Amino acid sequence: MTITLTVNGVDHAVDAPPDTPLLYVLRDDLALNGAKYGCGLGQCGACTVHVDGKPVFSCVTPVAAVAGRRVRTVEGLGTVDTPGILQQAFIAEQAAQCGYCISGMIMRAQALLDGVRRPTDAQIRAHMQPNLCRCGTHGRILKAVRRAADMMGGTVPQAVRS
Amino acid sequence: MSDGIANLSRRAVLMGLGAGTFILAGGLAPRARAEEPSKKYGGDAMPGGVKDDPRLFVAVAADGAVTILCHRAEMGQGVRTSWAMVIADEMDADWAKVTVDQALGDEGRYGNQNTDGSRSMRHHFQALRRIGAAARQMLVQAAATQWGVPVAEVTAEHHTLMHGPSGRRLGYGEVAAAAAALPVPARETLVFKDPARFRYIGRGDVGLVDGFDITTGRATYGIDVRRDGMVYAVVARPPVYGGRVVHYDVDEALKVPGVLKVVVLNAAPPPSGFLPKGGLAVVAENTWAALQGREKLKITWEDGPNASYDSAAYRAELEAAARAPGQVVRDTGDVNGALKTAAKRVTAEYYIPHLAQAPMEPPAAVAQVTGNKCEIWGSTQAPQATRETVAKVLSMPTENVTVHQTLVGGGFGRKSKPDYIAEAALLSRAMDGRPVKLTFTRQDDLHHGFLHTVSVERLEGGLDAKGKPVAWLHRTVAPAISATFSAGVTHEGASELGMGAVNTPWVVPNLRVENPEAVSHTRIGWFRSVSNIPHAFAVQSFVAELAAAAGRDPKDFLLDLIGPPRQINPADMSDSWNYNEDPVAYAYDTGRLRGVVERAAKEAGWGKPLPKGQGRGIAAHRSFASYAAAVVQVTVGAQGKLTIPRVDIAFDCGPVINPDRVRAQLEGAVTQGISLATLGEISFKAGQVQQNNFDSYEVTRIDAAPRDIRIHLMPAATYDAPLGGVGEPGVPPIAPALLNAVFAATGKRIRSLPIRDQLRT
Amino acid sequence: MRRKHWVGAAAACIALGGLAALAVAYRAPLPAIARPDAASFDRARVARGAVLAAIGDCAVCHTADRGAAYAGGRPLPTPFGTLYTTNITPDIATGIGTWSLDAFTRALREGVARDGHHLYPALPYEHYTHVTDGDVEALYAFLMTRPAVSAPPQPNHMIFPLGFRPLLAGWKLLFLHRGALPPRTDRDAQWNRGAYLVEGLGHCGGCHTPRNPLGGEETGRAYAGGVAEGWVAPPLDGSSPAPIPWTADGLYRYLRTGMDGEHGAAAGPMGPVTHDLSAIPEDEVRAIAVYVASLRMDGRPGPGPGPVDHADAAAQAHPAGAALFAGACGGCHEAGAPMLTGGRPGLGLASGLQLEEPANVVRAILEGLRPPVGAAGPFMPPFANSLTDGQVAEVAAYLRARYSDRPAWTNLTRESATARKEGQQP
Repeated sequence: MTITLTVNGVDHAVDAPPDTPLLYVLRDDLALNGAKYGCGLGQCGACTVHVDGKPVFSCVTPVAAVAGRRVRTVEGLGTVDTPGILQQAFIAEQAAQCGYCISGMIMRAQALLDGVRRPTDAQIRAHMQPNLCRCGTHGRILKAVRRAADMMGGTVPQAVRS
Repeated sequence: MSDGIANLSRRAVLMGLGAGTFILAGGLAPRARAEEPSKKYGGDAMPGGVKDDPRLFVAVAADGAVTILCHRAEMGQGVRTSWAMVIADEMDADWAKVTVDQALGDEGRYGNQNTDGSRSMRHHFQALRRIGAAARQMLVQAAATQWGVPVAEVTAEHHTLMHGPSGRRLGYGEVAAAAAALPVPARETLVFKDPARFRYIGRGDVGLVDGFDITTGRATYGIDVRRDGMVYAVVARPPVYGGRVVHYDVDEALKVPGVLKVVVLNAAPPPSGFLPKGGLAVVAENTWAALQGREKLKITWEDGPNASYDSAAYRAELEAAARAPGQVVRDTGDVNGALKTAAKRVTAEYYIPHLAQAPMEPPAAVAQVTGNKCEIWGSTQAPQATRETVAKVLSMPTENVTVHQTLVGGGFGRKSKPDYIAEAALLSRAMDGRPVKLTFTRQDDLHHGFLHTVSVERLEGGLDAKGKPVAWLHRTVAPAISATFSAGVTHEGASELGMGAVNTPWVVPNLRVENPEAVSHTRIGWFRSVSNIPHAFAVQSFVAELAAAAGRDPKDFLLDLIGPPRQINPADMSDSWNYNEDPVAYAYDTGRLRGVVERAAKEAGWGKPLPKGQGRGIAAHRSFASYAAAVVQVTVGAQGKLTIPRVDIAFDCGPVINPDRVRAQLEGAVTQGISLATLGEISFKAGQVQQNNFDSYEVTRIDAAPRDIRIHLMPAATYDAPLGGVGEPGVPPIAPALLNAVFAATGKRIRSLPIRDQLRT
Repeated sequence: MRRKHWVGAAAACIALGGLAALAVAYRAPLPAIARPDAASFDRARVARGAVLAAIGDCAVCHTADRGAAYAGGRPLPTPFGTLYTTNITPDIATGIGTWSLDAFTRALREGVARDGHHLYPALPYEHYTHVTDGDVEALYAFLMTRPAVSAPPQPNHMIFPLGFRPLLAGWKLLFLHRGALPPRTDRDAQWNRGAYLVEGLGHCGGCHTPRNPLGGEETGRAYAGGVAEGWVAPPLDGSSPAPIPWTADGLYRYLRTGMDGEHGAAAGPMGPVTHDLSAIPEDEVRAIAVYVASLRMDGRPGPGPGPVDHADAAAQAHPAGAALFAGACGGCHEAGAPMLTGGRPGLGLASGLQLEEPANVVRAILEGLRPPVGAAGPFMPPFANSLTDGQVAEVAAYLRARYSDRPAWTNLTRESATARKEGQQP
């Protein structure tokens, strides 16, 4: 069955059974590795992408459900030369350890900052709760989200790729 | 500066190389002072040893671009950054011109590559300095030759070679070809940089080399590898360790669109080591089809002798064993007599369940068999074990297996075991050489792991009338890691006992450690900090219990138990292992243990009053040749709701190479320690793991992580001091400090991990 | 929908209340006292109060999301507007620090604050009125020994003119029946204990009994099912639609852990209730379970119809819903799925799929389920962002067809849109 997907602004015709979770279509068919498999059952958030601007677990989002809707992955946040502000903030805080959860963290955080300009720490924690990090970089992830909010508010100079 | 090393460095001046430049002569590293010069320690004692030939690790292009090869697995320690940083600093390279490449798995060529045991910097820092220094000296020599001037007149500074007298300059790239053709300088002629001139080492502001790729989704982990013509596989493995397939029906599975083949994998009988468990593999055109196909398999299993493995019953077995005398593994004085005559006697039993490493990236790899060769792309901590295991299952020579190491999305010990890579290799052969991506689902990961052991630790202590400890009896009972590799192993090995069971430096006249038998029923493996977890949990909890019985402050009691600063040869504590390090250079230094205790206590405001329902706990532990002490502060609220506002951890690992990454490792260790203490448990019923995913094998999330983690590094005064490990030693003190804090807050002593809802009632 | 006639009936309430108010509305203020020293309360009584507070779900309503315990501020959407719960910590300025035991007792039993103003029946005083003196005193001791938190009350947003509190006096004339409930001599002590807890502090009927247009419980239809924050509180009487009837043992497991293998997981507002009950003495929960089970046994004893699974027919009728289910839900809910081990039931046993209205199924899909007692979660993830209202409707229709023999639900898309909107409220 051919399904038309719009991913990061580009239309793709994908031949996949309608029940296929979006995660596997992104990774296997579209060669977008940003969304990660972590649990397959919506328990860890490593696969978080946006559908119509809202965060979803792509591992439990059937591809049929997103036909005709806007899908955004971590690859769509910035360009190679200028990563998105959140990405810059994660780089600046050295928030990654193994880095495997980071794409999902960034997408989850982006959804927060899209709606709340200045989230409190409590809001960040509550919002980021669905996403698991096993290395224990939570403190830096929190700082990175805070830094990104500051950068968007213009109080921290935007970092450039070093 | 200490003893001989400082004297040695003065020779730099004698040689006329200018003040502030230091020389290190080969063979005069601390290990040369060991009692048995013939016995090798540290990296030299590892299979493959340590290699320091700059031609293996450094390439300088004509445009000056420097490529540094890293042969360690990057799994979050930041080793690719720290590794290259050391070489770059010693060779005076400009970090902006450095890129890092990952070495193929080749122990013969690169030396020991297994990334485990907190060894990367501990074993390689001096070798990396030698690599950098040699590269720099070759560049200097090439410039001197080109200019026709004495080599002593040429200096290297930030990617530029300078001839002082004439003011001439050359870039590194301009002499790279000539330098590469030069012989590598002998070790004893290498001149190290003055640490005062370090730009990167010890500075902590170097950006992670993989930071950009990771945050933009471009990084490649084992699960991300894609090869032309690749197919996807998952395996249905026997639910019980040692089980096998007796009957199967694959008709329905083969009907799933996209499923290509179902392959029977043979089971290796226990103890199966690194070999796959066997089962039925479904190979398909994409991941989803493989998963759907596996759901449709109909398999009858024969479970074998481990079908009765039950965690509740096993715990009772371990407890029974711990209540009777066992093999004595350390004995000083007369423990039984001292216990009998003690004014006060305290007994406690601690339980620490199985744990799964559960790295966020489950085990995954791609294999491609071509003729009598096999190529692997995978997330592995152990490329050499991978080559050997793949070679074994494919019956081909080890050198025919090529291993490309990807980024590792979390390892924690799980990816030291290449069972999943061997499965991929077998399947590629079964698919006539097509590349096969083998992925573990999360359930596969939890059900088919190499788990942290399960243990009961029983301690008995005696106090005299003044509250001074006079007797210490510790019985540690746990199935051993080596039982996964050899039949009939029922006792902990020297390395397990040396992780905090026998090697306690207590000032107690009568001290005995026993190790009763325990039979293993599942695959036991390494989990970040390994047996230090149960041993430190029990020992450091018990110290606080004794302090409470003595009516003493737990920190003061702990310091008294550690006693005055002194260097203890681990062998004197019946620790023959000492992380394979020289027992003299890496003696157990009680002064350093005291140092971290005092620092953590001071920083955490130990002794300052806290409101009702709050408390602080302290614990300290030496592991992987480093010293760590933690003070955890807790609040226990309504219905036993536990929150952790703050953790202070003081850490002494000797020289600190990359402070930012040391901090990051400790931050992670704190959270992982909290996670295992509050939530972590893998349990068995009828031989099967009961947890399937992160709903039942829970991991600390951002809302429950400590609010404030403060790291207090206590770096050695000199970079010539022996290095301790960094990745693991932060974990062991966390659980006991946490439970000691819970006791301080509530008066409730929890001895069985995880805490879960034990505080609710 | 129930919601509609609730709102429509506000006018009747006003008229009636207006008359009554004149007669009985005035209540005198009780004197403020100096805040009692926490140490002056008997420790055993405080401990007993903690258990009673858990049974009464005090913290559930009187704690805001991530707010301090008992400091109030949680919004309670009702058909008559949104109420904000009050601070019941012993803070002097913003809490109940100056309340005497008499003032506290009057509030609990008569719905009158210390200063004499009438409290909305969101505080279930029509149930709490049955609580014994000793238990009220223990509750008081417990609350007065909590940490005082300064949290000023938030203004309510009530439909005009229900902001005029004297009207509540009229409501009380109709629905507040004071005094202790007589014990039933034909039942044993455990049953009577359960009755006392369920009818009193537990106030189970507050959600599980339907309400009349004035917002009073329909006593003639006790436990025939009601609503709570948009969720259906299923019937506990003989009309319970559970495919396997509830037993005292099953109820005990459910109340204690938030999960029963023959029924399912506590969802929506029931989740926090089970969290509370997980930490109190086992006997109390057993008594509650025995009493609640008797409600069903008295009405309709005997076995239930058991679960059904019309997988093929449902897939034929709702192919889109079937595909969405396979990709979004099957990983946990299909037979043999990993989430179905450890005593978790299949969807064939879930009451929500058997109810007359789809509210619970739609809400569970949209909002997911919070983790059970003692777990970190997530448990069932929310699908509000993944699925459109139309897709939620497809899945719900498929589930109904697959797992029940009952009539198809209608207006599912609209139900999803409504639930989605409500889920985003404060």
